[in-house]
Amino acid sequence: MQRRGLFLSLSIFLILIPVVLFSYDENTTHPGLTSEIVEFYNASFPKRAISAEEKKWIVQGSMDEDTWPRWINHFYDPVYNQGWTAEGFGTISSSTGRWLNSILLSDHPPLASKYWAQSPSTQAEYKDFGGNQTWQRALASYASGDKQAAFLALGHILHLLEDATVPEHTRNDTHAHPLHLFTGDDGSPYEKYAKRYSSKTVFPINAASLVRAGVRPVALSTLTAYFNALAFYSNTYFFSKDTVQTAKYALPVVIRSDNDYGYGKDRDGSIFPLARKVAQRKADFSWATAFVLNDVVTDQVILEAYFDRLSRAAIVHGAGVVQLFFNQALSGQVIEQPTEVSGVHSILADVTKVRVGVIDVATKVQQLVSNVVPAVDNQPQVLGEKIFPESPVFNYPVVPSPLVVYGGGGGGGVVSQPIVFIDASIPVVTTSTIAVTTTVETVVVTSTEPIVTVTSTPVAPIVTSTSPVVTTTVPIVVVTTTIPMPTSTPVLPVVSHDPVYLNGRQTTTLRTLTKAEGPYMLVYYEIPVGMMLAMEPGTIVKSLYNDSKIDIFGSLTSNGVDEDMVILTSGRDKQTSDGLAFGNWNGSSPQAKDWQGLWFHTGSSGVLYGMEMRYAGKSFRVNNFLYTGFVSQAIRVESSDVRFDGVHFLYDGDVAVRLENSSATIVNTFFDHGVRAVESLLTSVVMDTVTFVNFSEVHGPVYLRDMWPTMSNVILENNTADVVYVESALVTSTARLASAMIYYLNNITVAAGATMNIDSGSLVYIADTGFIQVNGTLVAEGTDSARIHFRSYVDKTFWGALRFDGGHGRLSQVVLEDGNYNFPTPAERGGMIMLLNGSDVLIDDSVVSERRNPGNTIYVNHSTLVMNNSSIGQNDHAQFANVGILIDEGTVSLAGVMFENLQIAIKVVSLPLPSVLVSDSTFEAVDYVSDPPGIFVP
Amino acid sequence: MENRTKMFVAVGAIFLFMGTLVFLDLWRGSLKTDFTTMLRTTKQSADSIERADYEVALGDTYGGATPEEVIGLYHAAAVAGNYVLASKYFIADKQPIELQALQQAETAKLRTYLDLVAQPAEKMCDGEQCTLVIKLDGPDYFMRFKQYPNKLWKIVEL
Repeated sequence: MQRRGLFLSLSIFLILIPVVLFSYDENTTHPGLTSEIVEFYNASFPKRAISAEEKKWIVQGSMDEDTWPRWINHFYDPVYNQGWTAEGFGTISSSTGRWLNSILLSDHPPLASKYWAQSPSTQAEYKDFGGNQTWQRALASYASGDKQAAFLALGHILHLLEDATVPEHTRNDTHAHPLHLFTGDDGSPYEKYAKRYSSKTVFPINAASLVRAGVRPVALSTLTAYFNALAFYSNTYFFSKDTVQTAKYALPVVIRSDNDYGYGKDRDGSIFPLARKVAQRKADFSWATAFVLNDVVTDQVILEAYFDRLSRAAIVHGAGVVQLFFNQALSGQVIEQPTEVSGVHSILADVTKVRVGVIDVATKVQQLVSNVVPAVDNQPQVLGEKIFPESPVFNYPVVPSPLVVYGGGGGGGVVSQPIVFIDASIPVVTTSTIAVTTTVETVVVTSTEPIVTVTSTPVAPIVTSTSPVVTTTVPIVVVTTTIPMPTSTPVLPVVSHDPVYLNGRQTTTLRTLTKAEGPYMLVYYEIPVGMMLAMEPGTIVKSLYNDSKIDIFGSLTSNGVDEDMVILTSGRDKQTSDGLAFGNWNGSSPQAKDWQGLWFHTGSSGVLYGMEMRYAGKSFRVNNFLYTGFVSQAIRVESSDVRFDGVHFLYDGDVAVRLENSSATIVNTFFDHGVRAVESLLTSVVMDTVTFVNFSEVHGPVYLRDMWPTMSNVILENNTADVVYVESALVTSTARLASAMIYYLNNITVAAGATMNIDSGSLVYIADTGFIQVNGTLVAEGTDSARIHFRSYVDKTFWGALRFDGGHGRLSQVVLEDGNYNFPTPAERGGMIMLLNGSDVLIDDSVVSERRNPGNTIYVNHSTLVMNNSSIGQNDHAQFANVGILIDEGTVSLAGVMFENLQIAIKVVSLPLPSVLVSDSTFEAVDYVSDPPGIFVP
Repeated sequence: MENRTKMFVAVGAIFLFMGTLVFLDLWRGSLKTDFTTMLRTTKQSADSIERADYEVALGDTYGGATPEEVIGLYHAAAVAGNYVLASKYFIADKQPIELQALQQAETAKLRTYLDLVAQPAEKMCDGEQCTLVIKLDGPDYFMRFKQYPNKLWKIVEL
């Protein structure tokens, strides 16, 4: 029975582990990140580039490291210098988890990943589970000529480094995903978010973009230093799901917040969303404000900010580890490897050796890794003791070249960009001592010197305070090593003849692109103020890079015609006249977001005739405000005038055209595939003969805010929602809602003097709590066979009101349903139709039916209502206080009106009693005809 | 005892001690070999438990066809004072916690809260997860849901 109980416990334990300890997905994110690391390394060190076959082995190794049950060794908490401790283990307590672990793997306690990566003797005992795949194994295999084994092991190491960029792995935050049906815990939202990235997708920060930005791999002296750097970064700058503002970790700190997010500060000074701010129900149903990070659905902005930073750190450090590997491997030192065994241990061996938990392992690690340079961190694992900073022992070796890190590219010569040391374990670097205050802040040293060198004599630092703020004095480090310059010239595709590159800033007032000279390869192109770029019919422009774009400060014109269109497209688009000649990205298929697109900056203009815009929309940041997150906009227009005539948009990212403070005319244009086609803010938009098909946005392919558009012959087909969404728009003259198009409206205002006409047969959706405020005139006249419907957009939600405020209305053959949600107006002063401040409204042959209780169906305040042959009320008689018409001064005249399912048909709350004329009216399931009684004769 | 006898006893004791160590060593080595096998067997058992967990969830009939529906059911049950039923609309792990909270809640606070959750909410979904967001003047209120294998939605967090 006891054995059964133990077995069950072990089973529960093990069932928790498999997904619990995975963070980046072994089939998507890990191979993707590893691939980017190799690419970045190859771009940075082309003289010893990794071949395709070697890369394949490395990627395979990075996937194999998650072999069961190796992942118990994939944690490293740098603050407490711990491996996995089973904290945050769902319904099983940490102590229980550790106890089970001590039974299960008493001779194999989970090692911190930085030890595991360098512990051949321990890994050798995992013979049946992947065996020895350590750093030493990689070096030894390479030295013996077994490159496949070497690169497979290197892949295992990169996997561990990538895990060190996952906050859950460095903040000891376990998740019980396999029991998600019981616990509702779907695991790390960061992990789930990162899953979307693989070797087949484009990472937001990738090798190509880093190379273009002049970033260099981070060069550190030991593998341990890399683990420390990454683990400290992910631990101290980011939250994990269950460690948001917990007492255990003082960092990161929410430096400010708004109603949506709490924000943190990255080491480069940028501000980014750290956690979501929520109203939280406490156990006693009182309320508190809290910060959380628990939902991949609602936390996209945060997770995106996390992934951008952490994946970048993984790539730039990972490439540095690859370079370190070659530096050490090429030194030719052969390391003897332990024999792999199948988990058989000898008590005699235990008796004859001093084994004090992991200290023994750590000692071995230190001995093994000391073959090249002294370890930066050789401290044993001490469970539960907080150490911060990571070790009081600073041992600065002479750093082999290349040293640094974020230098600039560009044709050889000298480093002129700032030098940035990412690794806090090597505090940097001035001509005298330096005080490193707080935690793991990056120190930036600007240098224009062509020669940079490092020599140092280790001096123990003076630790003057304890966590979380530490002031440490570190020794002088004088830099004297030459930094090899990166070669930033891109590797160009093979072409049949010399391509013309669109690169840099235009220098002539007018430049014309021609069909004959093209196809052009777009690198990055800028049209300055006062200059024009013109594209003749048949011109083809293909992107060279993922973030290729044209910045327009002057003018851009396209003069294509139907039979010879101008084409702007992805470098791997084969559907152009050049076939595969240019921009063939390894022959793969084009897809949305292959390149960035066009950006019209303030004061620019664009007249685009006969143009095809394909596969643009690569995400970018607007104005480098990191907290704004990325946007995907194939064409971005800011305070400019643009005209699209005969343009075909195809697969252009999340938003094909984004308009801000601009003027846009879109005619004879076709939008095909994407999330949203047009997004407009404060822009005058004219659309005529425009078609939208295959867009996935739930609110429709068109979103227009602030200004009412002029639209005719707009066709919406096969979209998730075939509606035009207009929000917070002001109608200032005459607006027409055509029945051929379905509108989704939210908070529309018809200004005084303006008129909104709604065609018969129109269907008007209104957003949750949304309203149409009429200060001018609203005319909605349907017919018996083609009524006009106002209803909520989402089932079981309620829109607000037709709110006449000093306005005029004529409603005929209209059906109004499911409104009267006028947040924050109190229910007793609201209604689905509201007449305020001298309004006058005529309603004929209509149905005014609402289900939201309590409240009024129609609210009359100092206004005049005439209603004939209509019905007011609800579908069912509710128990709540609901009123058909509430009158607070004004005049009401009713003829042939049916009240149904109401508590009170007509209620008056003002004195003297207003004029209420009622004739030929009926009252069904109405508790009180009037309040006060007898104010009219039914 | 003669010295010769003492020596034999001492040598015998040493041999016995060494023999015991050898026996224990072999025995423990054997256990460790079994342990490797046990890892594999245990994993198979763990897979079975996971399947059982799935089956239990499959048979859970307390839920809604949509997140909105299950919150409506929760609301109706709570308004009616049927707290046991209301708590059953949560995922299994949270049911006793919610039941205790409902039973101990002050009436006024609970009523205010139930009025709130009945408000229209914005829905955001990703596969088997959905979140309903009620807009408030300050930070918004988030209600999280999960879809069980039988397609019924359960409340994860209110």
